[in-house]
Amino acid sequence: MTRCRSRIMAILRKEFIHIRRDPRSLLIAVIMPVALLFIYGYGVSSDITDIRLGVVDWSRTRESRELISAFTSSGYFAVVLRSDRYADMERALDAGDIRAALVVPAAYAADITRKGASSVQILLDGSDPNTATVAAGYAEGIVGNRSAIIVRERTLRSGGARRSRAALTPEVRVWYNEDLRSANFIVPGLIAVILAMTSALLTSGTIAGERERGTIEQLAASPASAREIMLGKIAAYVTLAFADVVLVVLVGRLWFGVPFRGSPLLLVLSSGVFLMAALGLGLLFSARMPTQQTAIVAALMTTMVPSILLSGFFFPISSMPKVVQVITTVVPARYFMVITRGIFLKGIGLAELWPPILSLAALSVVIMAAGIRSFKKRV
Amino acid sequence: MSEAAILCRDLVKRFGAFTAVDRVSFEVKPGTVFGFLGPNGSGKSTTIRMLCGLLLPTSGRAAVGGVDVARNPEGVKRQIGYMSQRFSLYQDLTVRENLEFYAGVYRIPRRERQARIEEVMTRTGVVADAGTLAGDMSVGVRQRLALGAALLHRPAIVFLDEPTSGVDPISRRRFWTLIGELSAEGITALVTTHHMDEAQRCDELVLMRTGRVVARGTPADLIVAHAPPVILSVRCDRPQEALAIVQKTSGVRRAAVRGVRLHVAAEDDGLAERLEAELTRAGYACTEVRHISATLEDVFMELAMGEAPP
Repeated sequence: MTRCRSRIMAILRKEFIHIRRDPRSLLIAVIMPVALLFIYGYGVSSDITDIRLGVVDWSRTRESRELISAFTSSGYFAVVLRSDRYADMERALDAGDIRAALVVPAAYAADITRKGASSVQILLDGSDPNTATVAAGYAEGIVGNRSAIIVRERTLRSGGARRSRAALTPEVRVWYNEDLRSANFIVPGLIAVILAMTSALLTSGTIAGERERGTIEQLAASPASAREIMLGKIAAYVTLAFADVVLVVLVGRLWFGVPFRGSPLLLVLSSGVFLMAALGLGLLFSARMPTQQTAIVAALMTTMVPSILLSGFFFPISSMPKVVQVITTVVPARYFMVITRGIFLKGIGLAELWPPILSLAALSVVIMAAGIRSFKKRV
Repeated sequence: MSEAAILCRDLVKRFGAFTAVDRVSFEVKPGTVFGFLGPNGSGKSTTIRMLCGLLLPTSGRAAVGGVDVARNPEGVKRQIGYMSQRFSLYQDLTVRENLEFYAGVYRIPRRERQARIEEVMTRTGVVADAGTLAGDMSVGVRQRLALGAALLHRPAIVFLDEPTSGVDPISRRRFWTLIGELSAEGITALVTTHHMDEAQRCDELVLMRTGRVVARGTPADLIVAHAPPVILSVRCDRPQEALAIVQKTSGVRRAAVRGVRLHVAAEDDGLAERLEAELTRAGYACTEVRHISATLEDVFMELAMGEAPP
C-alpha cells in the first residue's frame, strides 16, 4: 500500500508542476472564480409561478377560505401543505418543501367583521431572494386586492361612502436572507458552479493532453496502473479545487458579506463529495475524447452549463417544465446547490441535509467509477 | 523460452481488415544490439509496442525476458525500458523533474533515488542540463534524456524506437556509443533505425516490409544473401537527366543519383559496357564506370523496393 502510494504521489507531484508552469491553469483556478463571483454577485431576476405555499388557517371561516383561494387562483402560488401548526411551516421552509407560508390568525374573520381590519402573516424563504422578492410582491398584491374587495363590500353594505381605510395588512417576514440580498443567494450557489467549472476545465485536458503530447505512451509503458495514474491526477485536482472552495468562501464572506451560519466541516465534506462527481466527469471526457479541445468543450457542456441552468442556481427547478425537472435529478450541482445554501444561509446540518447529500453521493460514486474505468492503459 | 531475451513466434497484429504485423518471428540473444529495419509503416513500431505490453497481439506468441507479453503485459513493463518514436517525456518539466517522476513511477527506493538519477544523468551526459526544461533542449540531448529515463530502473532489455531520428550526426554517434556501453554491460537493446551506418553497428538485423520479416541475420550475412549481384558507380555528364536513360537500360534493377555520380544496382557483369554505350549514344559523356562493393543500403533498397514478399 505504501509502495502504491509512492507512485500516486509521484503523479500528484508531477501534476502540480504542470499546473504551476501553465499560466492557463492559474487563470482557471484563481482568476476565473473571482471574476465569476463578481459577475454573478449582482443577481438576476426571473418570472416565477407556482410558488410552493404552505397554509395555516386558524380562522377556518368563509373569509379565510376566500383569502386562501385568492392566493391559489392567482396562479402564482400552489398550496402544497396545510396544517394547523406553525412548527410544520418552519420545518417545511427548512427542508425547502415550501417557499412561502401564509398564516391566517384565529381572529381573522371576527376582526374584519367587528373592527373592519385584520392582518395576515406571510413567511418567505429568503435564501432564494429572486423567488422571495417576487413572491413577496405577489402576496402583497393579492392581500391588497382582497383588502379592496372587503372595503367595497363593507361600503356597499353600509350604503354609502365611509372611511376607505385598508382592511388587510400583510405582515411579510423573510427568513434566512432577511434583506433579500441576491449576493447571499448567489455566492453559496456559485461554489457549485465554480467547482464544476474548474474541475471540468482542469481535468478534461489532463489525459487527452498527455495523449496529444505523446507522453501517455511512456506512462503506458511503465508499470504504473491506470488506476494509480487516475488517482494521482485526481488527488492533485482535488487539492486545487479545495483551495477554490476556501477562496470563494473568503471572497463571499469578506467582500460580499454573505453570512455563513452552518458547519464549515460539513461544507468541506459535501464539497468533497461534489468534487468526485465534477472531477469524474472531467476525467471521463478526457479519457474518451480524441483531443484536449473536444474534451474541454464536452466537459464544460456537461458540467458547467447544467450547474448554472439546471441546478436551481438562477431558475427555480419547481418552475421548470416536468421533463427538465426529471433531467435535473442527474445534475450533481442541483443537490450541492441545496446543500451550500442550506449551510450558508439556513445554518442547517446533516439532520436536514442528508437527503441531498445522499443523492449527491450516489451520483458521485457512479460518475467517479465511470471516470476511473474509462482510462485504459493500452494506447 | 530458455535463453532468448526476446522471442517472437508468428506474431500477428490486425487493426480491422488491415494486417500491420504478419506472422513475425525472431529471437534476440541476451546482451546483443538487435536492429530493426524497414520503411515507415512496415510494422516495426507495432511489433515493438506489442513486445512492450502496450498492444495486445491478435495472435502468435511473444516473450520478453521470459515473460509472455499477452498474458502478463504489466510483468513485461516492470523489466523493460522503452523509448518511443516521439519524445514522450514532459516538456514542461526539467530534466531532473522528469527523472524524479519516473523514479517514483518505477518505485525506486527513496534513499537510492538521488544517486540513481545522478548516475543516469552522468552516463547520458545531461548533468549540465539538470535544471533545463525538456522542451528547451535540442533533440539530441532530449533523446539522451529519454534513454536515461528508460534506464533508471536498470532494465535488462531496452526497446529504442527510432532513437536517433532528427538527431545530428555527432549526437547520433554519441548515442550509439551509449548503446554499445549498455551492450557491454549485458543489456539487450532492440533498436529501430533508418540510418544504415547505425544498422551496420548492430549484432543482428531484421528487415521488415509490409508487416513481414523479409530478411534477417548479421549485417555481413544480409549483404551476402541479399545484395544485388553488381553495383556500379557511374560518372557522366548531367547525371540528373542521364538517370532516365540508365533506368530504361535492360539489366538495371535500380538507379539513383548520388552527388555527381549514378549509383546503379544491376543484374549482371556485362552491364557496365552496355550502360556506357547507351549513355554515349544518348549524348552523355561517360567518364567512369566502376564496380563497387554492396553496402547495407543496397540490401535495404533491394528488399524494401523489390518484389513484394509472397
